[in-house]
Amino acid sequence: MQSWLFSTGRNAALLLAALALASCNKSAPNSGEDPQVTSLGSIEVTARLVEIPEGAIFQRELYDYATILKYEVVTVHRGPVAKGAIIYVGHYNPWKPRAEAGDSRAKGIGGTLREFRAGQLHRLALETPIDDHYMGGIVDKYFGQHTGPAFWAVWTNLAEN
Amino acid sequence: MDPERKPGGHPDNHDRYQAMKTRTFPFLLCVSCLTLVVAAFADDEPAPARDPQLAAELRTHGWIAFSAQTPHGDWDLFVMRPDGSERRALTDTREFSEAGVRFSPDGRRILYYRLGKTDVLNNNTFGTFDLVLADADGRNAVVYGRDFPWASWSPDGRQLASLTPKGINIVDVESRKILRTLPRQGIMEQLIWSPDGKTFTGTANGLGTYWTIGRLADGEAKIAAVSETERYNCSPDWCPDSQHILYARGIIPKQGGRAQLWIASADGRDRTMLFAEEGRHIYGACSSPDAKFVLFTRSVADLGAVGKSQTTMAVARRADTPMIGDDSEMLRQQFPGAQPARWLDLGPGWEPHWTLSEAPAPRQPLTKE
Repeated sequence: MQSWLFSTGRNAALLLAALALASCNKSAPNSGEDPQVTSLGSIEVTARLVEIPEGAIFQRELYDYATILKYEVVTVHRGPVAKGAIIYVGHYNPWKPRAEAGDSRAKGIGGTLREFRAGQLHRLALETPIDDHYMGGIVDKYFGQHTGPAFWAVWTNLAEN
Repeated sequence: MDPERKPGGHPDNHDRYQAMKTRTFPFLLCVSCLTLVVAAFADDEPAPARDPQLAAELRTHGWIAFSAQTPHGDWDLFVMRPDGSERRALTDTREFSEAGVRFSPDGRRILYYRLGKTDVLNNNTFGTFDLVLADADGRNAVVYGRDFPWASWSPDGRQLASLTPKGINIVDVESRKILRTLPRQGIMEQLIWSPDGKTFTGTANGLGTYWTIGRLADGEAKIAAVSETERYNCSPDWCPDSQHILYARGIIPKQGGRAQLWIASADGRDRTMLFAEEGRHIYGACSSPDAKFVLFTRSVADLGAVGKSQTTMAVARRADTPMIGDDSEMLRQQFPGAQPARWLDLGPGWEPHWTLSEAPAPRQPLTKE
C-alpha cells in the first residue's frame, strides 16, 4: 500500500512537472522584439503582410531593387501610424533573407525574416518617406492604388500571433 | 574585353585570335584555325563591313570618351575619334576604375567616377562613387569625392547637378557649395541636365509599376513620364535641341527581349525606335553635338554588371534610323519602315560621350627652340 501510494504520488509529481514544463514551453508568442527593431527607424509597428502580388518579388541579379508590399497595422509601438491602417512598405532585394539584403546602396537594413509569405505577421522598424532613405529602383505593383509616401523597411522581424 | 582591339573587327574573332597567338604546337594551331573559321561562319550576328564613307564622315568629327576594361582587369578612360582612330588612354590606373565620363558642354573638361578596383562596375550604380573633374585630356584631375552622385554639367560648365536622396543639388564647381536643392520627384539614377539648362531627365520611380524615364522641368512641381511605364527603361540622355531624349527602352518583365535605342519628345508624346537588334541589348545612347549621329553600346548580356556583358560601342547616322542592326526577321516585321544595317563598330567600350571640341587631342610635345 505504501509502495502504491509512493508510486502514485511520484507519478502525480511527474505529471505536474511535465504540465509545468509544457506550460513554460507555451510561453507568450514571439513578438519579434529585439534591440534593433525597437531602436532603428522612427516608426515601429507589428503588421500583417496582406498579400504578395504576382511579380512583386523576383530574383534578378541584374537589378538591386525594392518592392512595395501592403500591410495592415496590428499594433503601433512607436510613431505616427494608426492601428488598423493599411500601409505600403518598400523592402530592399526582397528575394533575400533580411539579414543578407543590405548593401552599399541600402545600408543598415536587416531582420530575422528569411522569406516573405502572405499572411505573416512582421515587426517592422520603418522610415518615411522612402525617397529620403533609399535611392534606387522600386517595383510598385500597387502603383495608382495608393497615395502618400511609402515606408522604408529598416528592420523586419518575423512575429507570431 | 580588350580596349586595344581595333574597331571594325568582330570581338569574338579577335579574342580567338589572341588566344590562338599563344599556341605553338602546329596541330593545335590547325585546330584553332578550323575552329575560328567554323565559328566565324556559324556566328549569326557578324559586325557589318566597315563603311568607309561613314568612317570618313566621322573621322574629323571631334572626339568620344569612354570606359574600357584593361588587361589588368580594371577600367580606364579612353578617347578616340568617332571613327575609332587615334585611340589612347586618358587614365592609366591599376588601383582604380574610371567610369561614366562626360565632357563639359564646351568640351574642355570632363567629369567621371572613380571606383576601387574591387568595386563592381554596374550600369545602375557607377554614379555613386568618387566624382573626379579633370581637363578633357585627363590632366589636372581633382577628386571631389562621394558627395556628388550622378553629376551632370550645367550649360556653362560652372555648375553641376547632383542627385541625392534629399533632392537634386545644384553645386558650384569652383567652391563645391550647394547653391540650391530641388525635389528629385522619384528620379533615382542617371540624372542629366538639359543643354538649355531648363530641364532634367533621369531614370525615375513613381511613374508606373517599374522605373522609367522622367522629365523634370526646373521649377515645376511634378515629374512627367517620357517613356512607356509598363517596362524597365533607363539610360536617358538629352539630344542637343533639349526637346528630345534618347533612352534604352527595356524589357517587359517575364516577356524577354532586348533593350532597344529609342528617342522621345520631351513631353513623351512621340516615341520612335532608332536602333534595335535581336541579339544585343542597346544602351548608353549619346547624340553627336550636331545631332547628325548617334553613339550607343551593344551588349551580349544585359546590364547591370558591365564586366560580363561583352559590351561594344557603335555609331550610326541619325538619317539612317530607324535601323535594324542585324538580320532579325522578327524585328523587321515589328518595324517595317526600318532601314538596313549601316553602322560602324567601335570596339569594346561602355558609356561613351561625344564632344566636337579638339581639347581632348594629345598635346604637342614641347620642342626646343
